[in-house]
Amino acid sequence: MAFSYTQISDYVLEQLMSNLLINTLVDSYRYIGEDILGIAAGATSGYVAALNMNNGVTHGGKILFCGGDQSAAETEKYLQADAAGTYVELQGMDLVVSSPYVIQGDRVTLCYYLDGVSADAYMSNQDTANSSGYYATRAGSILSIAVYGYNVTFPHPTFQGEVHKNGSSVLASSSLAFTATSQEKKTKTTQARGVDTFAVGDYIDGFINFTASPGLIYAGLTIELILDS
Amino acid sequence: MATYTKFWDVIVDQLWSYQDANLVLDSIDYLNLCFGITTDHNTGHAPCLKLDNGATHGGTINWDGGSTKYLRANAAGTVLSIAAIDFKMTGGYKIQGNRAILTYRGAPVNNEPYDTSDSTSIALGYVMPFPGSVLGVSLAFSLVSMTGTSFTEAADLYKNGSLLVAGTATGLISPPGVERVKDTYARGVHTFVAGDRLEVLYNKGGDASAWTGYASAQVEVILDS
Repeated sequence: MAFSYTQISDYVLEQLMSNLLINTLVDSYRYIGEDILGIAAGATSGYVAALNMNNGVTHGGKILFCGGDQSAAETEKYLQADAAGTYVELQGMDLVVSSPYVIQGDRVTLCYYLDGVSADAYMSNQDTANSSGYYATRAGSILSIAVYGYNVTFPHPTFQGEVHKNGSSVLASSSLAFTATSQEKKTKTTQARGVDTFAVGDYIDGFINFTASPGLIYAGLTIELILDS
Repeated sequence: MATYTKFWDVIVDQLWSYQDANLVLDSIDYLNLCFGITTDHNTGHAPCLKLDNGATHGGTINWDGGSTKYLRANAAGTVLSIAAIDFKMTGGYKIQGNRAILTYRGAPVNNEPYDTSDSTSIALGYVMPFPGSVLGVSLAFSLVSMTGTSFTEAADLYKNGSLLVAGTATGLISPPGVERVKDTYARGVHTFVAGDRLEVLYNKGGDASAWTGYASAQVEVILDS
């Protein structure tokens, strides 16, 4: 027997599968894409232009790797912003920057020592007036100075560590005031990135500055730098 | 009491037309394309996220519900940058590919010594805990006095007692005076492995037969692991 059916008129179909229904369906996908997944609107190229992340409560957005399960916190491998939006944390994995690329913004330290100094002196050459220092191969900022001293003599000296750029002090530690021989003291001072900057070709050095009663000390000085390129 | 007409299946097939079905599939494909998800991928995990706005940058992940804190590739795809937010590594994990500076300080220098041994024949140096490569060598030399008419200085870099790369010499130094020089190298060119020793040798040029000075050298390295 021949198969037959009733042909429904187009205007009836239009009513049944209404524009409202279609729009609801499309809106559902937009809801998934834009509101839930955070894809910026208008991304039709096959690439996400921007992914907007924030769970609004416990963190500022999270990407789970390796099939991560949010219920297994101790085994998670993720990239996540904290709730305050102060840092992005990579957890559960090393970060590998393979050759020939570099991290433009990693930190290094310059470490100096003087095994016996009794007058103002640059750490790199123990010269009083002329700085040698680190002849910068990259631009960057000074982030901190840490200084250590061991007092040998009487009267007891007071000194501070300084970071000099091109021969001038740009960042100083607090003073170390000795009150006895064979006494150890240390201090550190930090600075925000971008404040005490240096350019390629600047020279950075540590400096021991006696502010009272210069005398024989042993000194160590560390300068923390962040490299911009 | 409500009543309705039950349509036959053949009629329902017409109602749920191929245009409607394609619209739904296109919407799904839209999401698949955006996330780089293969059509048969249904594990509940997105294997890949493809980012690019095609104009001003190569893709952005905005954090904390705004657009100022982000992880973003530049338009040329050469740099991935983090803005307005720190990057943090915790637990037992580390960055494989960060840099360090080895500080050498030869003072005083009146011959051509290796830095850490202060010997003209014994190369010691710093032992590298991880493999990597040398990115830069810089030298500042403060010449106090000399016998002769010309003096230059270079910092040669030695690996395990053998010359790895010869440093560029400073310009002529007249005492008292300081000259500086620096060399940079691409990553992967002057490499080392864990356990290699990196030492600096101060190498005098010019006709000076005797001299006194202070050397300050820094070696910028990048660690691969």
